[in-house]
Amino acid sequence: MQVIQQKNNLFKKIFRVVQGFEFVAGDIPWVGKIYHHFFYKKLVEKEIKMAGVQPGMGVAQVGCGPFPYSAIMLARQGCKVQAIDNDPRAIAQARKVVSRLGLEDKIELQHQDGTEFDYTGLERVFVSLHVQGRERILDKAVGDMGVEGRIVFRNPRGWLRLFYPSYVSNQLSCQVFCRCREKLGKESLCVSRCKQKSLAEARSGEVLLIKKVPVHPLLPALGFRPGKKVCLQGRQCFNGPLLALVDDRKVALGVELANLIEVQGGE
Amino acid sequence: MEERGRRKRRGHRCGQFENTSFSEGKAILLMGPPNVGKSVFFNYFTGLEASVANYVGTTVEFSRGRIVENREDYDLIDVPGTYTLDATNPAEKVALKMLQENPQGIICVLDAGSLESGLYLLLQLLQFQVPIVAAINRIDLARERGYIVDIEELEKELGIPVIATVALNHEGLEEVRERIFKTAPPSKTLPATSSERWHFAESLTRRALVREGEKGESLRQKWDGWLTGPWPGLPLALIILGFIFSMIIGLGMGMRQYLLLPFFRELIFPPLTAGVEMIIPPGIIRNILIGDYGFLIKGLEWPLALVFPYVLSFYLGLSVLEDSGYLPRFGVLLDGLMARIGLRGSNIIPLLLGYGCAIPGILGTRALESRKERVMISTMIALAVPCISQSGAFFALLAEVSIIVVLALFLFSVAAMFVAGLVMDRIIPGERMETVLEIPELLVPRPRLLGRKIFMRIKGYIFNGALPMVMAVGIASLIYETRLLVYLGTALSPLIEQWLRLPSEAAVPLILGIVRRELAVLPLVEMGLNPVQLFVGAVVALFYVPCIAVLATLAREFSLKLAVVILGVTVGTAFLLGGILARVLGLFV
Repeated sequence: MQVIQQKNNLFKKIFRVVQGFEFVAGDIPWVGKIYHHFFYKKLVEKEIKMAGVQPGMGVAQVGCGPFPYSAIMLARQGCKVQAIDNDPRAIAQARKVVSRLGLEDKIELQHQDGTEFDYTGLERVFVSLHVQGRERILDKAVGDMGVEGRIVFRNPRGWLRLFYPSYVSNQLSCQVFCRCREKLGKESLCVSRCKQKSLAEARSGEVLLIKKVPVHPLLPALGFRPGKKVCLQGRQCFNGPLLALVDDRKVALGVELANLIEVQGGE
Repeated sequence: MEERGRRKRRGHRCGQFENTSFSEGKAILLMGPPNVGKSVFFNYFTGLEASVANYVGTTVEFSRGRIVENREDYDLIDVPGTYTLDATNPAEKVALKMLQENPQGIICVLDAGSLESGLYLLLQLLQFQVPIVAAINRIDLARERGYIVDIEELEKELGIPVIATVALNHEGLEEVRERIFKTAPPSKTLPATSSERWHFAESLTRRALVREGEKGESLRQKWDGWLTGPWPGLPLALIILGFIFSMIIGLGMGMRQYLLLPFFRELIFPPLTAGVEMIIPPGIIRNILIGDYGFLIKGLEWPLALVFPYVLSFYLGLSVLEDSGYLPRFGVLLDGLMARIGLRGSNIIPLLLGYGCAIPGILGTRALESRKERVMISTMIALAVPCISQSGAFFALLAEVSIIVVLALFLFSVAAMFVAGLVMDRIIPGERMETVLEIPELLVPRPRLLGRKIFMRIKGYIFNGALPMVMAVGIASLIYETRLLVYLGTALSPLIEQWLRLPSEAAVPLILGIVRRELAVLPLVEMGLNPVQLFVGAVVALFYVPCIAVLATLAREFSLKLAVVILGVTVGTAFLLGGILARVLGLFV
């Protein structure tokens, strides 16, 4: 109990530092640019790709903070974004940042708690790492959205687990669709209500049925077509490719690509 | 044999991607998915030597040879392998362009192990209304897995001749050759859209591929599991590489020490020296021929007794790795690490080819779709991958001091490549390509094929490596004997003596190194350098000008501008690192 308390205190302290920094970043444009370029650009780009975000989708960002970077990137992709935060100061600062970038009509900012927000009708939800009570938010969002809806959230992995609470897939009420290793001890998870998952989430030795394959010049010819059975043989070190077997043919597949292949448990 | 010899003399032309024209109606195309053995067919039919290896994308430029039928000559063209004809990569674009030039016929080679996607390609080819013969290759491997291919069913459904082959054993090849000239264009109507084609290919494969009882896990599959996964694949990779590396050095050194050096020093040089001394009076000309840099002495000893043994042992090692199908597995093991510098695991293959000679390494990048990847690998090869001639020279220079210095030099070069990769990944725009790589079957290399392959590479070395080296040694002896060296030494002394702390004679390797990589090293062998100077000299030579032929290749493949930039970067790195190392190592030794 005491350990959890300590962890919570530490978490709050780190959170204040990060938030303070983001306030500064919101005030001074070039600081914001450098900060996000180093810490978030690649990460958010990966998440957007992983979640299969298409222009025109309705998206929410929970815990946008004083500099709503994910929301900005999503808006630039052509999404209609609702960004919420339970801190009124953060929302006020975020308004300034958004209007400076001229994205007011694409990003709707609201002061609200993520556990009470209504996610009905949205297609993707992005939850920040520093949001508290992420479990309840996930449950609510999964319930509100349809089977096609997907939620992306960040988990600590490795050393960052010492400071942040993390969720493992068996604690969640939803299916982990795919995950992606990020820098600085983080990982991004994409979850959904339906039973489908990506090939990258499969266990070694599992035989699965391919449901959907992204447009790619080589994948169909190598046997990755809907309706085919695929067996995951293993994965390489250093976040290397997966080895998959289709029709006795062994293919090495990059993780990011495997994240986009939808599969279903085959019997 | 007579027939073969005649065909051989007809010559062999290779083309680049841009130049694909051939005499209309006289060409027969060899097509099929990558790594099904098209080049083995080509070599058998033409008696030529297109390169063959067990990984995807060996043939990066088409090869053209002659095939004679009824006293008429036909061009046989070995087209780079394509999974489909959708023109999404360089190989597919070449293939499409060739198809549009009215070929006389197509030999479509399919792999019995991946019949389905092969059939899809075949269906795409059939719409071109050209006579086609389909060869189902590697029937033996399918049989080993417990499958029988129903050839009659395929012939009935496709309406074209289908022949079962095992190309490496020459089984069925004569039949393919007979049938291709007697076949009419296809008449059957077959599906025309992508999804219909896949549907047709799937159902036909189900009927034509008959399972003949269960077979247990073969030894091949066991080894495949061991070598491909991270455990025990990674430690095995270390052992395999360590073994190959020591084999190259050990075998090379042994041959040099006990066979070639005694042979030249005791049997060739004494009569040669005596002969020259009899004919030519003492003076400059005699010195040029048999003096310190004697054209006849060093010109024979360096390329033939010093470098040649390593060329032989290196190509033995490389050819075994290539033909066994281990290289793609090694690449996949390293893919995660290569991703850190924006590359893919399969890029390890052109890099390793670069350890033989930079030119095949750079040409080997042609099949890559991304220009960023091509530029990065070519620059890394030009900067820090020593070709085998230079490596041989390093072994001669450093191995006698200590084998650890040799190892240190190679680790240094790998580190430099990694840094270069990191930098280039940042500054060259472009995304990293996702890894999608088919892993070929493991095969036991066949001694006959290995022998031929090594022979071809040795031949290449003699004509493109050893002869220019002899000429360059001639130039060196001229510089040395005409006292040009003294002037050069004085002119370059700030750079050589003060910055690099090497003796003034080191001007010779710096001049010669522009022409060829190993000549930046070899003259150092007999200068009696101390260990620090040896290492500094070796590092400068490693990064120095990547030899004239390589610069020309870079300019042709990319642009003159890039070649100049690479030249500047390599020379700059060489002197910068050399000077720093001379000071840093000087502190310790």
